[in-house]
Amino acid sequence: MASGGGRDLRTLTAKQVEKLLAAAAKTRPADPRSREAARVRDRYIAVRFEGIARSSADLSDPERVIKAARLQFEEGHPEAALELIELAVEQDRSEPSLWLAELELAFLLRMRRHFIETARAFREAHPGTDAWTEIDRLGRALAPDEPTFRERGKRAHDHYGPWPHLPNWIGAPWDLTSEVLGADFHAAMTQGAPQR
Amino acid sequence: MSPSRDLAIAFDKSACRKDYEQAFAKLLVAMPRMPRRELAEHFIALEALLDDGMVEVKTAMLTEGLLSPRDYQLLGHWIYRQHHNLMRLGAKAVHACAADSKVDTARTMRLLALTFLHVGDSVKWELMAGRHYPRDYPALHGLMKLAIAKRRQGERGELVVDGMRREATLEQLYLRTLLLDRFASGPLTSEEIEVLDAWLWEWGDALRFEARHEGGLVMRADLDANGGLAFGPRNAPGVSLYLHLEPLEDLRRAVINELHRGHVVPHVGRAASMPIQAHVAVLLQLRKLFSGAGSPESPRAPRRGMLGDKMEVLVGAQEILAALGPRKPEARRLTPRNASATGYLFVTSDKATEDIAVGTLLGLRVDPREPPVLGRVVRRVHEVDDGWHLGVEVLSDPSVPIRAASLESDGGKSHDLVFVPGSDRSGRFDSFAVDYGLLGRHERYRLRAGAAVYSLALNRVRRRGRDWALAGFEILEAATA
Repeated sequence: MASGGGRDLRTLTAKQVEKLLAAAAKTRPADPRSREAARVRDRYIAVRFEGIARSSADLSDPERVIKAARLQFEEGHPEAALELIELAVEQDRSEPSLWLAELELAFLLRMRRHFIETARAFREAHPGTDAWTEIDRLGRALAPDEPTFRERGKRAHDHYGPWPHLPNWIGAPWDLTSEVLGADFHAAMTQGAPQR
Repeated sequence: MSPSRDLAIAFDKSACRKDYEQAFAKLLVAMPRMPRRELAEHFIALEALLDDGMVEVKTAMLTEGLLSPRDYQLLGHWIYRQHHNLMRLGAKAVHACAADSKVDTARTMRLLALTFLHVGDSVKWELMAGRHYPRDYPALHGLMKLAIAKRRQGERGELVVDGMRREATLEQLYLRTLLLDRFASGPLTSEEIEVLDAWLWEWGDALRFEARHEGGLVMRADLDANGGLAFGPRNAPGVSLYLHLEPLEDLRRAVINELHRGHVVPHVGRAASMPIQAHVAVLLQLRKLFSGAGSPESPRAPRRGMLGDKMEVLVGAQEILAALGPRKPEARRLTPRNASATGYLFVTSDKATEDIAVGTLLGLRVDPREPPVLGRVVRRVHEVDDGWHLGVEVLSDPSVPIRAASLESDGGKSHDLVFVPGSDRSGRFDSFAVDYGLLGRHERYRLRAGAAVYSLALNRVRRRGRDWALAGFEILEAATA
């Protein structure tokens, strides 16, 4: 049972097989129905996230997507932030950073059900992930009664105070350079303008 | 006298419209003397004729460029009038048949269903023609009370709507009308309300009311009031019907999930061919409604009446940019009827607003000596005996004036646009009012401000309108000029 490229599939790891299948799917001609579905999805993404993404192709850069989602969240559009991440996860379930950003947003929004369901789906897609300890910790704070978040030997709440530390999977910047530049720019643009 | 199905039915032809009008007029005249059972039959035949003749015309009207503006206006008004007339005739026929023991209840309820259908359609077509007849809520609630009295409100019947067979209950048709009414006052375009209507047909099972409020986010219809849907439980005595919003929000989310999969909901019919923009606009409007925005608990800026002073109104980015320069362009002057910290209501004539639509960018010169304040049209509707009502949402902080700016792209091309400073000095909420075309490019731009040249990238949309968006940006670097 040789695969394209002359390799024996039995010697490949699960991840390598997954990659080969994904590559094969990309070269397979799409049937008209799925082409139309891709067109509608792309159009929806372009309209819903105007200025952020022009099509699903623009969601293939996790770092960019997470940053855009964080900005949406910070501007008071949590639904758009979550939806953007969800679209990117739907497109690439193998990228853990997207899942983790979705989990952190759900946590920040206190979306208990969403957090639990996403955590379960993430664990299924990424068994043995290193991030589970952190997810488990957040999960216990958000949903203390939920059996999904019960690592053996752990307490229900393993932090002091009302709020656990956040893992910063949404990439909030520690470097304030861009913030300082933004404030300088605002001052320069409004300088001399009559303040009413 | 009976309208014939052989009548040529294509209402883009004036002869066909005349034939239909004659059939309607004959029924109206004959109605008082006509046996009720016969009246019901004639009404049902006339209704089928109207639906047949309108299918293609309505599609043409919702397809850009197929009709001349004059035909568009003429047909839009004609369709609106026919739905309105048929609804009024239907309401009379329902009450007459209900009072006649020779007419069986099932037949009367069929008339009632068709009447509700045309109330809803006349509400929808107000967006094309403007509101020319006052809304008769007591008559609408009266019909629902009749259905409840006969215990038929949940009974399912078949209807032909725009040539398609549909099933609906009376409460579903009633709630469809009330939900369309909620949006017909301006925030949606005619394309968008078509999409909303298509979803309401799909969501029939969730369009059910309860006689008591037992918790949860609800809208209610007060059957003894002269008004449409209101939020929350009723605090005064009287009979109300409650619509739960949570199941509708679940259905809205299901539409979003389908769009993620690349499927438009519904996949057939007129709404399926509407642009995705229309679907997204309705999703956002419904999000507001289903989360309780507009409820008595949601904050609303206090209104204040105006003294009637005219205000200069600049239409579109070009006029606004010109007004920010040394040469002041000729601007139209509109009178605000009321104002708040968040917006203005202008009432004006046809002529002054014919090029203004929902989503148009406006510059409002609140103080004639100062730069204009930026605004967006969020509502445009014709009110009976009053003229066009324009609701304008204020987009810029009046205490921090907007200014013209010029962005230079890498290729050296410059783009003149409006800089909209946020009220926060951090600059986090600063934006540019930009043309859509600029958003798709993902370019870097340079702009000189003070002693520095800033390099920036547009990276999010804060508000959007017709051909423009209020775009947020990030500063990538700054260099000394």
